[in-house]
Amino acid sequence: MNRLGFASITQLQKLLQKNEISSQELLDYFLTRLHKHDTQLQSTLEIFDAHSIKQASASTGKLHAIPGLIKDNISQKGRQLTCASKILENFTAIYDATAIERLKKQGAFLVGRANLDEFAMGSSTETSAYKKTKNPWNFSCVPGGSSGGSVAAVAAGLVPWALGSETGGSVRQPAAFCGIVGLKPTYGLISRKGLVAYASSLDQIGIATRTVRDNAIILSIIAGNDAGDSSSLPVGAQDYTNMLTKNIDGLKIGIIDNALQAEGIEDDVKKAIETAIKQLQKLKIQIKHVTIPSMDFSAAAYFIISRAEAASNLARYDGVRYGFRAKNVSNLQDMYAQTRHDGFGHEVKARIMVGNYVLSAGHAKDFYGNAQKVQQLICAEFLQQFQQVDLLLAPTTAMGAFKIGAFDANKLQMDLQDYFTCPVNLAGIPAISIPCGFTKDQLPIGMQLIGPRLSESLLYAVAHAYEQNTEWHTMHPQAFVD
Amino acid sequence: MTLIHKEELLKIAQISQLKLYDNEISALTQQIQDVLSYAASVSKVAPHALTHEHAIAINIFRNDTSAPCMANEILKQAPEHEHHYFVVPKVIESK
Repeated sequence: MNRLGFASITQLQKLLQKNEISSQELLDYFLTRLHKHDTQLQSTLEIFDAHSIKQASASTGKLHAIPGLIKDNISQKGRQLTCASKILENFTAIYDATAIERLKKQGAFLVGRANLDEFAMGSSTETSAYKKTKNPWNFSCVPGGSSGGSVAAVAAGLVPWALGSETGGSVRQPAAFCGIVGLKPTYGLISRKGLVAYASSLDQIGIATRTVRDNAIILSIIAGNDAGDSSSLPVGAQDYTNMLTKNIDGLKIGIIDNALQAEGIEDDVKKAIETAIKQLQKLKIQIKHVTIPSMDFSAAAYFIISRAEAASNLARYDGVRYGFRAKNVSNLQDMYAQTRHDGFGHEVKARIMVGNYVLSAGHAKDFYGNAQKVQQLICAEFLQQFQQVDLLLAPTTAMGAFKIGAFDANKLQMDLQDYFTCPVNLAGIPAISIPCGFTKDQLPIGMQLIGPRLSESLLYAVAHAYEQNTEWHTMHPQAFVD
Repeated sequence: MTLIHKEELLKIAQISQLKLYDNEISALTQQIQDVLSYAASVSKVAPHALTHEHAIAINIFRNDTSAPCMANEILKQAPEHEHHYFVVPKVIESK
C-alpha cells in the first residue's frame, strides 16, 4: 500500500482492473493520506467526504476511481468556490466547469479544492486569504504559484493528478519548483467555462502530474471544443497518449539563448539545462541556438494586459449578487467600495488599480496600446522560429523555490517570476515544464519545452522520451515517502 | 520613469470602487509605482512592432435558444434578497 501514493494513473488503473484493490479502498487510501499529510503541507482548502465524492461521478469511465484535486477557481457544482479570496468565502458553485463535467463523466474522483494565490494572482500561493502552502521538498520554501496547492499535493503523492490554471505561468512555475510535470495547453484547447476569469485572453486550465503519460491521460479527457466557451477552438477529442512513443529522431529543438543568458539566472539552473540539452542530443535530437529578443519585454507587456483584463473581470465582485458584503455602510456606493476593500487582499487590489491606471485616458496609449504591439511582436517572433525548429527550450524559472516571505518587501521581484513563462501565454501557444535536476539545496529545477499552436502531442513525445531516459520523475520528497 | 502621486492613486482607487485607508496608501503607491516603471519599457520596442498582421479576431456565433433559468439558485446566494430581487443599501440618501 505504501507505494500507492506515488503510483502513476496507469499503475493505479491496472491494480483496479486486476481487482487487487477496490475503488473504495483506493479512495480511502488517498483520503487518509490527504488528511494525514495536509496538516503540514496545507495544499487543500477542503477535502471532501468519500460518500459525496462517489456520488458526484459516474460509476464507470476512462478515469474511474482515480483521485484528483481541483484548483479552487474551477467550478465544481454544489461545492464552495472561493478563489482563495474572502470576497467569495460563502459562494457555492451552481454548475460544473466543462472540464469538471468531462472528468466526472469518466468516473474521476474529485477529492477536494486546492489552495491558490487569491484569484490566481501571485507566484507563491502566499496571497491566499486562507493559508500558505509549503513546498513538499522544503517546508520553509514556497511551492510556487498560483496553482501551488494543486502542484504541491501531486508532488507529495497526495493525489496522482490535479487541475490548475495558467495566466502567466501558474502551472509551469510551481511544477518546476516542486519537481513535477505541468502543462499549459494552447489557448482554446480546454474550455474556460467554469474557470473564474482573471485575464480572459490569457487564462487556460492546466494539468499537474508526476509523469508525462499521466498528463496526456488527463488532457485526453478534458480537451476539445465546447459551445459554452466562445474562445474554445474547433478541435475534437483525441487520445494524446497515442503519440507518446512517436519517433523523435532528427527533430529540431531551438534553445532560447537569451533566456539562458538572462540576468539573475542561477548557475545550478543553467547547468541543469545544459546537461538536459546533452541528454536530448543523445536522443538524436538536433539542437539549434535561437533568440527571441522580445522575450525580454514580455513580462512588461504581460503585467499591463493581465492587470487591465483583471480590472474589468473583477469589477463584478461588488457585494450585490453573491459573496461577501460589508456591513454598516451608508449607501450603495459606500457598500461597493467597503465590500471590495474588506473582501480583496492587497495583491488583488494592487492589480486592479494598475489595470485601471493603464486603461485610463492619458495612459492607455502608452501602456495598453504598446503592450498589445509587443504581444504581436512576440507572436511573430515565435512563429518565425517555428519555421526553423520544431520546438523551443528554455528554463521554466531562473532559480529554485524561494523562501516563504522572501519577496514580501519587493513585490516586483515576485511579479518577475513570470519572466520565462509569460511569453508563451501572450502568444497563446502550448508549453510543458518537466523536471531536469536539483539545485545544491536539493530543490527541483524545471525546463520548459514550447511548441507551436496545437503541438501538445509533440511536446508530450519529447518530454516523455526525456523523462524515460532520466530519473527525475522517480525522485520524491522524503517527508511523504511512508 | 512613471510617477504616480497620492492624488492620482486615490482617483484610481475611486474608479476601481475601492476604499483606501491612510495607512494603506504608501505601500500600494510604492508597489504600483514599481510595476508601472517596469511596464513602461513596452514603449521602447513597441514602435517597431507590427500592427494587426498577426492579430486573430473572429466572431463566434451561437443559436439564440432558451435554456433552463437558474434564477432561484442564484438568488439564494445573494447577501440579501426579497422575492425576486437583490436588496441593496439606499442609492440616494434622504436629507
